[in-house]
Amino acid sequence: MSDERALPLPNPGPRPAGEVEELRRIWAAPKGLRFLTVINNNYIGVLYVGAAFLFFVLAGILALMMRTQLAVAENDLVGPTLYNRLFTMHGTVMMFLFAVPVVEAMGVLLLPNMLGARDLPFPRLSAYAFWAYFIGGTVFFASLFVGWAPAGGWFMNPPLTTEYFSPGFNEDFWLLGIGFIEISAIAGAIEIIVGVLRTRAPGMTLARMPLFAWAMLVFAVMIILAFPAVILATALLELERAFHWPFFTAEAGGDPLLWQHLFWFFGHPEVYVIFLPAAGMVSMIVPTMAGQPLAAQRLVILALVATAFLSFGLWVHHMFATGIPGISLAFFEAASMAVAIPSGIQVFAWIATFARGRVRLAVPTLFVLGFLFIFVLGGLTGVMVAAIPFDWQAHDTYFVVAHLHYVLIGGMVFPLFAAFYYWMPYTSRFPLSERVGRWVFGLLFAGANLTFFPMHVLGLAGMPRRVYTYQSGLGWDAINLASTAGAFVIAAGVLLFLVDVARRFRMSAEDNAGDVWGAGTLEWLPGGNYSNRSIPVVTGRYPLWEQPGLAKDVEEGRYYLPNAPTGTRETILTSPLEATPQVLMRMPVPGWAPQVAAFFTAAFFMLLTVKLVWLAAACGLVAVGALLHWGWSLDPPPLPDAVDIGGGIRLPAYASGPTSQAWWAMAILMLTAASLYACAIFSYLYLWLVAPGTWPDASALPRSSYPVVSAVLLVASSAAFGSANGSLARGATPAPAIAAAIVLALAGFGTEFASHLAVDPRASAYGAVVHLFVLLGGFFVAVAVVLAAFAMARRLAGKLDRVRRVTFDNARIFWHYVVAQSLVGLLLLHGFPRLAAP
Amino acid sequence: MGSGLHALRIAAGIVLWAVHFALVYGSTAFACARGAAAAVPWIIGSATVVAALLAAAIAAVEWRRREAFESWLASGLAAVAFFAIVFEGVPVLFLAPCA
Amino acid sequence: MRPACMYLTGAAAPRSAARDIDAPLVNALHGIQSALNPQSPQASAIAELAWLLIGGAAAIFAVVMVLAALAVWRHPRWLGSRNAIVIGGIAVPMLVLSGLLVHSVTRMGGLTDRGDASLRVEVVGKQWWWRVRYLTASGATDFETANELRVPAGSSVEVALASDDVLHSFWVPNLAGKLDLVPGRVNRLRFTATNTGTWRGQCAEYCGGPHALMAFHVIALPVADFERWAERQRAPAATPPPPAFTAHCAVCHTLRGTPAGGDRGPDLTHVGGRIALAAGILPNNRQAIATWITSSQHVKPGNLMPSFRTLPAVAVAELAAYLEGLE
Repeated sequence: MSDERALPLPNPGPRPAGEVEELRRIWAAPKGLRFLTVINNNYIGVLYVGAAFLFFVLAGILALMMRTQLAVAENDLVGPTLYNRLFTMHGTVMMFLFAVPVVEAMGVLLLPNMLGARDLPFPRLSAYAFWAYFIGGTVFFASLFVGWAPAGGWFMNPPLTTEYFSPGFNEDFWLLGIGFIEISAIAGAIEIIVGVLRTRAPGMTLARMPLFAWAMLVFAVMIILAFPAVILATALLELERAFHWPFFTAEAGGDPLLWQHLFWFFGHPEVYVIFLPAAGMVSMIVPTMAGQPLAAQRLVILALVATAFLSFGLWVHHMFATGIPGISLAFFEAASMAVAIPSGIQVFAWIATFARGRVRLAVPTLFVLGFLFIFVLGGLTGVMVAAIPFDWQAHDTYFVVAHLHYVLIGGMVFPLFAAFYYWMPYTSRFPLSERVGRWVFGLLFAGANLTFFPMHVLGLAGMPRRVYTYQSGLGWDAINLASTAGAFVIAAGVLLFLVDVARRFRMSAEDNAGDVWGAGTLEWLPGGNYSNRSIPVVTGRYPLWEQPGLAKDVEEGRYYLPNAPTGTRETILTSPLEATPQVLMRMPVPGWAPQVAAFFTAAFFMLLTVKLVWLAAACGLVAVGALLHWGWSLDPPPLPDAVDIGGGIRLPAYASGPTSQAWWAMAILMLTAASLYACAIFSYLYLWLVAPGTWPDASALPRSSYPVVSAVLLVASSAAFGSANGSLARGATPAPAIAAAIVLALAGFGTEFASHLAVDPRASAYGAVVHLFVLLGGFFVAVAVVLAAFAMARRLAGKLDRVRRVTFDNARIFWHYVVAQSLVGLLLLHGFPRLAAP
Repeated sequence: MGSGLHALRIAAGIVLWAVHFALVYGSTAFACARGAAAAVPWIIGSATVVAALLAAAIAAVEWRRREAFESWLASGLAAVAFFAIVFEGVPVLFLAPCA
Repeated sequence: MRPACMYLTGAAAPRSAARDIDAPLVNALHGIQSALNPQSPQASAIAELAWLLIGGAAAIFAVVMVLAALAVWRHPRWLGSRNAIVIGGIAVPMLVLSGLLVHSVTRMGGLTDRGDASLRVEVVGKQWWWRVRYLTASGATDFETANELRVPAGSSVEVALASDDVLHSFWVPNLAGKLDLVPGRVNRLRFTATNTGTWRGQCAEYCGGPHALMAFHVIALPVADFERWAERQRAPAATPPPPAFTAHCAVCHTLRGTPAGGDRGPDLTHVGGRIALAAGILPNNRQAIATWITSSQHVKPGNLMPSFRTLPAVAVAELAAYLEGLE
């Protein structure tokens, strides 16, 4: 309750007729076949959640097949080949096609309304991410039916997954398919970061931001930092499989453990990537169900951020049994224990919130309580396996299977079901049935515990994971049978849930069931596809509780932007910390480009998997064409006049530079690139540490004139781009300077490329990693050149001048980034071996 | 660029933790691989003391401005970093290096 | 037909009273492949830690659940206070975890201690069996066997773990925690079997195909018995092989003292003296040997030995009788 409540409403007077109708028309979803081009978050969000849930069900069916096989000892229902594919696909699909996408989907669905925005800042990017994921994921899953499914485990450890031990397409499906789906996850993460930081309702400072938005912000930043590691790892393994670059082959100086480092550097944060948004959902549901603000909100925010960064120091706890020196392991044990504390804070904050209020035991509450039970148990077994000596027994046994399912089912699936029940009235005309919901909860809760609790015992009684069968007489039989029974109880619960969804879910943004829980946050304001009629000023953490009459005022257009002044889709860009209105952002309307691009990107990767190189290349070209077509429509012409959004605020309808959303997206993309490059540097140093013998001495290195010339050319290209910037600012054409920059950069890269021609990437890990850097350097230079050429083309088409310059600015900052990155590469490749030579 | 400065201050504790972590892990791996086990306790010990003191200092400085949420968060994160750094330094007191 | 396995879970195991009780839990925790039935100082140290962790976790879990129930149904004021969050969520976990960190790290220090071992054995993981080389004091191969480690009870054993194909993990829960076999590295595991007896181990790192059927046994013998067994192992094969062996088996298998010198599969010089076949999954008798020769792909799908289905029954019988006799 702050003083700001007393402020006058921005648009106190009555509004002209027809504004709502216009909003409705502008934001209407396309009809018929053109519905496929829909980009509004309400629709993409629901499609996204639905697709992710489909994969949950499919992966669950695979689990049922496994549990059926393991119901009795020495069963011969499923042989090793199929079983190995089943557990590989179960883990992969659950992690990559269900868990990460579904929370990203919940973000797409909920965030704009929760933040008081009309949509996410890059709706076409959401659509692209969704379609790429859905098409790619479906093809990936279908690989099971034609015998092409991977069988290397969801962690894909080489050397088992190298071409020698796993010939055929199967493992390539994992590497290309998952690598590609990770790219889609990164696209979604960029969208979420910019959305959370730049499209919050005026007055919604960071301290007032809903916990779910905080969690999604942390989630997205983690994706940006962690996922490049697995993308690099899959690239290395694919290079080894396809071209025999020996990153992981010990005889040539590679090391299988390099894969594990990269994979788990991604893989452990991944667990928190999944858990934190779920915790964010719980932090939204608990206050509503207790009728009380969340206790210790600041501590909970601190806990979210602390979990995120500590989770980057845990990865070796998946490698305790690999023979790494004890003291190195101990750092990771320490970090693994430290990370338990933020979870403790959250658990006690939820308990305290319950204690402060009157708790309504509706179905979402039941799922939250179930979550507490299962997740606390999973967290405690997590501390157990963090104790290294204990892990030497528990690692890779059913104890860990139990632990991880307690953490993921408790920490993610139960909150998700709570969220489905809680937010169903937000997106559907009818809420789900409370009566059926209690049964769903009961079945899932009993089933999950019956399935997974006995596995703790099973693991300590000696049963390893990933075995397609086991011998009778080791004391495992009865436990396995109980576990299998539990799996079918879970299945019954999910089935019942689906039946209820089929009966009750009728999608509607406009005519939804609404605020049935009496919640306090903005997503429960009445609205439509355009989100809210007008964008409210927020003065506290729970605006609907603290600002009486808010819903009515919003609905009658008394707040900001009650209409569509530029005649198209638009939302307000606000400042990242204080959420002060800065720009009226015009937003795109539906079109085919994102869907076409997504389809052909997916086709490119999948055809590459089955080695149809030419067809893949053709699809790749179409995808690039669609992306360029899409890019061409970005950066619409500036409007001459500022637009009145009410309250005496006039916002420019155009922005370039750091205020624009595009600049932010590019900055985050560069952070992703930097993370990828850092992982490559780690790989280089790691391989050197493991097998210094394959490193050449100084005399065998390229002459030092090569890197010097390359560096001079690259710096000169940056300078040329800088002068292009000067020209543009003066109103002159930047094209000649850009052309010069392109030539200089290509020459700089060419010099570096030529300097390593004598090294064979197949001969040793040294050769492989050097050529990896050449490849990465070439890739980044190529992207920068395309962006620069694109800016030139826009100049020629009259779409680039001293005001309208977003594409140019993005090309420019990326250009400088690529030059800086290339200079680091030169130092590493030419400087480091000279420094390290004995 | 006020928000950039804020972001840097919030991230200070995190960055410190990350640098400490990379340093102790990287130098230990290097020392063990190249037969310099004797140096390990000294490297870890000194890095831990320096990083912990810095984290404590950041936490204290930001705590004085805790009325602003960003400062409160920066202080809290530096405090978490402090404990994590100390935690990660503890094992060196109990373990033989490189065994 | 199912693999005619699977005696292997009991035969030579010491039978305690607990094993005869038909309760799954009791059975599981007293098994010959159980981390909670420790038979060495190393496994005991871990089992003690395990019980400490289990007890601690159960207590904390109970307290948190009681608090949650109180919060939902009784709403005590103290539980809604900021102090409750700071004490329950920060202070107590910090204390408990600090204690646990120091305790478990100290315990680990004890387990990675390197003294002199009285016996050194090299184990090389293969898809999907274990090559076992006993080493002399100088590190040379003393003799080779497969899928079975015999060790003197009460003596410290160092197992040097290596792999020349994919990752594996060496795990005998009753005797020690697991340690991976990583191509390009040699990892060293230490244990001292306290009592005589037979313990079962299994590959614990997914290695493709029939990973589930890559088991082995560790047999702790009185020192004198061990010495006698080792002496026998050093000797060449007792009798020359039948022609079928030379024609079909010798390309992959070694019989020391005969021209058969293949090394893709296990050394069979004393195969008849082992307690199990095919990496711990078949009993070792004439019929099982015959089954393995004719149907190895059925018994262990995907393993690298073909099923010799067309071999005449007489030749199979002759081979089985011969191999069974190689003690």
